[in-house]
Amino acid sequence: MKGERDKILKIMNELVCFFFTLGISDPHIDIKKTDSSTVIVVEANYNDPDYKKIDRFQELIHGARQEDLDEYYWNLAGNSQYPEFILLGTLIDSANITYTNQILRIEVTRKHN
Amino acid sequence: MDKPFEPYPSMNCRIISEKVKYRIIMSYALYFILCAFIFNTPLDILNGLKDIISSPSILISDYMAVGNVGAAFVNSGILMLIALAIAHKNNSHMTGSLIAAVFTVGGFAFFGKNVYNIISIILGVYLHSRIQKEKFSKYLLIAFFGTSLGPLVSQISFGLDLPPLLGLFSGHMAGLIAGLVLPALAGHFVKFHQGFSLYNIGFVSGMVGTFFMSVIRAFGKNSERALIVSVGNDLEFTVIFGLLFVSLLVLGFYFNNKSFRNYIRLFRHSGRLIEDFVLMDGFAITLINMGTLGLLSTALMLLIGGELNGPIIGGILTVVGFGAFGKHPKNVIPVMAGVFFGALLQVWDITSTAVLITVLYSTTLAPIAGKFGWKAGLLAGFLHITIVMNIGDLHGGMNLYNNGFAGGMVAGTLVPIFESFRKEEI
Repeated sequence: MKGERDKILKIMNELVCFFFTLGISDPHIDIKKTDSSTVIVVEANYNDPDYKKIDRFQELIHGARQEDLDEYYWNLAGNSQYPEFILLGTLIDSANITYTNQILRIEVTRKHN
Repeated sequence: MDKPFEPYPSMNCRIISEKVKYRIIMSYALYFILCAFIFNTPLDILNGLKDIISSPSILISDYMAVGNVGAAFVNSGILMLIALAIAHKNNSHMTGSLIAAVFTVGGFAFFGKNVYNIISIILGVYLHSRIQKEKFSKYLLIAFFGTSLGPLVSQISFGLDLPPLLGLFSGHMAGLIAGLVLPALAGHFVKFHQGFSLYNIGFVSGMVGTFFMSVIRAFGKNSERALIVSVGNDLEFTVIFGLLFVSLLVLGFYFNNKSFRNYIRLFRHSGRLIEDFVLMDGFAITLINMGTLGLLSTALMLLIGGELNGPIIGGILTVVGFGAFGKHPKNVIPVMAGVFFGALLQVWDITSTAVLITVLYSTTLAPIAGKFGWKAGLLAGFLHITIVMNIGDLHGGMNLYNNGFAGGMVAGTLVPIFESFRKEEI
């Protein structure tokens, strides 16, 4: 898949950017890329959760991959000046957000089809 | 395919299936075809379509004057149906971006796009997808918006006095090449303006058109600019399009649990690419926004004293389409006002078709007003009209989205300046 690595990096940037907007400065990133998909996990300690922002983020990336937007607009993702969480949602196939034991964990999957 | 998108759970509006969304948009294409028979007989329409298809279609060629009013309506309806059929075949969801693309295709089918000149461009994009071994659905938006270069095909085919067969072959080869390169450029150029010009393909097509025009001029041919516009249909068009926009409002009201609740919330979006209102706020709110923008744009054109003709109808439909993908009254009004004041202070005649379509299409810069405020929008509009009136000669009218070309330049220049004066985020 041409450009797939760049798209994965853009997705990672968007996720890290979201952590920054929450005031989290030390997110941990884990990426696993296989032939069929890539899973990106970003997690961090988060003591004073802003549920409104997290809920809004979850709504925006509710996992509706849009291939037409994916190919055309993916270059806009990953810019810290203008976070594109709705674009992030169109780049991924599924997302799972959890907040337990004061750890915020976001896992997203992008299939390589 | 039929699994609908769900807007924010907090929006609490009705979930609408993809099938219903497709049917609603398709009904507007059929409405255009039916409206054609108010103006002309079937035979007149057929003859008008022949004239449209064989015209160079260079900017600005109003198909209502080139052919006839009925033929222009049929042309628009047919092109919308073709776009919808291709989208449906490729299992595309009826998102805001697709609605914008379909309405843009339909709008420009009143002055520059026809069945003859869009096919080779779409085929070129399809060929790109085959070469890349990717699904065509990934390039659908580029293919639809890329038909902005329709006049390139028509002008080479019919406007350069080439022998007929050579003209047809060269025209379609040019369209094929344009379509082939558009996907590579579209993703690249969007970075220049950072999504602050909604007609990104207009920017790309402006560059591609400039290259082609330069080659044509280098071989001693030229493209004379056109200004063919129809007159005398204000009342009929006000009724036809007024009904269309009111129906959008009524449908949106109905699907939004018989209320306009949450519509004003849509204004919180800056409109920067890719704020897809269908995905973010739901189909119902989007329809309300489209209807509102349609009524607002039409009223504005009539208030200024302009004539409703093909290019202006095309402009209004494009604004309406992008009512699903970035535009709302709050972010379009400052830019439109900037163009208006620009025209008053500069040498342009505010009631001319060229200026009026600039008022409409300048809303490609709506995200600037949405992100940086109304003063920035006003300035962007003011500068936009100065650029757009000068830039068309570069591509010789071969790019229908001349405002997208200018808008890309304005946004790409203004945004870094605005950005540099913003408070730094830590």
